[in-house]
Amino acid sequence: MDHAYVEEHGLIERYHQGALPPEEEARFEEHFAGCAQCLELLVLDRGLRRGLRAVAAEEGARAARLGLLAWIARRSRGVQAGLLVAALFVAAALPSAFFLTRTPPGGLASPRGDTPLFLLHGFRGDPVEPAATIDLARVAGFLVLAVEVDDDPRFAGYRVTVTGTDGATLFRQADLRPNAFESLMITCPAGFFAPGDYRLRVEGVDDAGAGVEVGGYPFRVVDER
Amino acid sequence: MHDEHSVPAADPDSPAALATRIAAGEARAEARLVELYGRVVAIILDRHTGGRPEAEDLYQETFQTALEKLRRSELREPAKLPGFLARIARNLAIEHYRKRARRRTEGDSGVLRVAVARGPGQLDVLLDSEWAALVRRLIEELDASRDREILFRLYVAEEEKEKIAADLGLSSLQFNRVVHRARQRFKTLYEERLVAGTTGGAMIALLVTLCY
Repeated sequence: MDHAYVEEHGLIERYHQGALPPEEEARFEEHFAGCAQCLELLVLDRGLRRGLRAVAAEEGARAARLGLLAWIARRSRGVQAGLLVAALFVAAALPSAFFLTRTPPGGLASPRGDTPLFLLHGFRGDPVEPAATIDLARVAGFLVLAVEVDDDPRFAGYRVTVTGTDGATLFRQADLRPNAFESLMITCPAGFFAPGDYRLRVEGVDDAGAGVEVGGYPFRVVDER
Repeated sequence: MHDEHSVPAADPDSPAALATRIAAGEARAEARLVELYGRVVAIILDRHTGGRPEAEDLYQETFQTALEKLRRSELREPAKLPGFLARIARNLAIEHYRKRARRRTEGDSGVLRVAVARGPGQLDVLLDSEWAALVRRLIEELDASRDREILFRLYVAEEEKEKIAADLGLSSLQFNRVVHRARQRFKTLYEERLVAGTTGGAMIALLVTLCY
């Protein structure tokens, strides 16, 4: 196994993704065990991956502080109490992450670095099937919806709205700005969605508060438990 | 006549020499084996366990198994010591999950449960914050928003490279170049941090050693 082959076939990143066929994975492991160059690349690539995910999680946590608190504020008093208890339970279950990440005011838990992130893709017109599927069986705690937007100077911020198939609004969040990845991150508790089809609408909002739709992102939620 | 337990005069840490020294009963060579190959074994186990806590037990088991075989001179080609260790780590991890799957299938009391994925340890969290600091600098330096998008979709959203390249109208070569440039810059930032002589530089070097 030579380095041109390793580079050409993207073995470093595919190894970390678990995307190599078993035989090739075994051969690569036997190679890098004795190859200082590949070992260094593996360490650095993993660092890059972990760093990017940590930055994404920080961005997600920031969005969660705004979005989750806003969402809770719109619930009834009884539901609010239950949600806060649930959030504190999550915090108690993640002491090290909770302690070392920026703790939001009021003790709400932040999403962790391994919070599942779903990148949604926009469509012009109505797609026959949603391209993104979220399986609740694979989500615990929080999930992050991410959509890519250009940081358009015409807009002071962005507003996202999640609607169900009946058009009813489930969630709305304003004053969002694209993060370092030029994405909007919307962090929700996993229990927020019931199985079904949804649409996330993104509007650019100008200084006068007028909104212009810049993208629609359909997605499906299932529960394979 | 060749004495299989003689210590070669050349590099005493070469795979062949190390295997031979261990077979000769040299305790220091055993410690050196762990020093030199601990990171390799940790990376393999991290991959196969998804960072779960059983990686720590499997790490110990890998070296215990390897040392027992080496002491009995069971490695026929000492020069292939690194591959030998990689195979042991991989096989132990695969066998661990096979056994666990069997136990789950055979279990009838509902007592056996899938292990909960490990929450990040404090060292892991500290290391992540060090990597994140480097990544923030890297992102600031990237000129093209397209490059940021590529890194985000490849490493965070874990999309297929082919799909990202097709969406952005890039050839495989162009895509690889962007990732290669970003990696090279990240490496430089990492090395600059290491040689800066700062507390942060020492910290990241220590954390990388401890966490792999």
